Amino acid sequence: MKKPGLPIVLAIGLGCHGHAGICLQTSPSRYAAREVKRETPADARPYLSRPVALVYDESRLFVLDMDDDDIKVFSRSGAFEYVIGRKGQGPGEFHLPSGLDILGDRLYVADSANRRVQVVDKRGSYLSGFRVPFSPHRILAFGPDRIVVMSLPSGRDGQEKVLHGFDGSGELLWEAVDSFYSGDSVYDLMRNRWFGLKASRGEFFLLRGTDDRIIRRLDENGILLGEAGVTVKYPIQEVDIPGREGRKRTLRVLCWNCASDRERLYFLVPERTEDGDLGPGRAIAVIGLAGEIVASIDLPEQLTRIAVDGNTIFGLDLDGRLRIFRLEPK
Amino acid sequence: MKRAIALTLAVVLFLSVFLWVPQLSSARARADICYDDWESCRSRAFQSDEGIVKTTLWLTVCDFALGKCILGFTKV
Repeated sequence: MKKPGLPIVLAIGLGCHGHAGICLQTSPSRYAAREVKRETPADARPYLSRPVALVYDESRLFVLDMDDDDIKVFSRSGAFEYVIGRKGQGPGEFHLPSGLDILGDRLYVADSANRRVQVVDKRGSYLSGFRVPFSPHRILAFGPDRIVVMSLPSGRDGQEKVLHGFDGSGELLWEAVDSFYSGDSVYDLMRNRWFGLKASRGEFFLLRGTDDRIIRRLDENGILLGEAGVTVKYPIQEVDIPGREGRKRTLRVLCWNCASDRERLYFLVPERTEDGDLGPGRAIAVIGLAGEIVASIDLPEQLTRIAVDGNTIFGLDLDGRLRIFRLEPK
Repeated sequence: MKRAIALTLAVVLFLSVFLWVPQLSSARARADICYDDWESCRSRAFQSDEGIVKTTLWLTVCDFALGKCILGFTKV
């Protein structure tokens, strides 16, 4: 008589070992995201004008607000705690900040309109900063002297580099990855929707949000370590946009926003709107390192930005509210 | 006669330097402001969650505003 229990236990053990989040399965599994009850009553929550990025540590969430030019700090259970920064050009002040990362006790801000990078501590005290010769869009910090800044290509001088590596004093160490350039500034910008997501061992994933299925893995020096294609089973959606001279051009949108956690990628799948546009969605596809779909997550409503920590999803909804979800198998 | 021509040319050169160069520099500074505002406009549009088509329309408005700004009609 066969003993079916052992292989099953082994399979589950291999898939879930050391993994607080979604376990490896042979076929994609489905999860539902259930909202966590918040500590703070709704009317006591601070208004987020245009939250564009969120990062977390073991005790807090940091939400970058582009229109308010500040970082709003919450407990991990969603209680508002304090604000870092304000509009301005001085140390610890921001103007249209668009990227945020956290490393140890430091927050790294892509201070877009001030064309600089600023480093502040978790209470908002200014630590350091440096100017950059472009509009910084996203930022990844791997160490005090290893900062990767992603620019928003302007196309003013043709093709530009997208990735720029700096040390802590602002010295440019390397540049990598050419932007898409066709001379149509609007289309080009939409083709340059790059996402940089942290991986383990000081490495990061680089994704192009449109017209590409490639997951690139780079190290902190901008060296390409490997590539994998996202499976064709993943639903890339097309949308026609108005181009120059009345020509319509088609964009194939990979993800609205994405996140990484424990060597998995989380793609916020775009959703068709009533008027035929393509907007934020209410489904997340969990992608493995080989580009396979590991799992799918159903959200109760549309999210615009996500961050994932194990079986917890931090998200921002269409009204700019912070939402916290726990994953439950379906 | 030669001295008069030379003097006239010198005066013209002098006036060019002191009248034209500041204007050119001012025009360049103005263009830089236009481009800075354009980049801010694009950055805002790019970070909007309005949908892909609406975002491209917004980006097109940024381009129009840049054109107007550079032509000196108005600031973005």
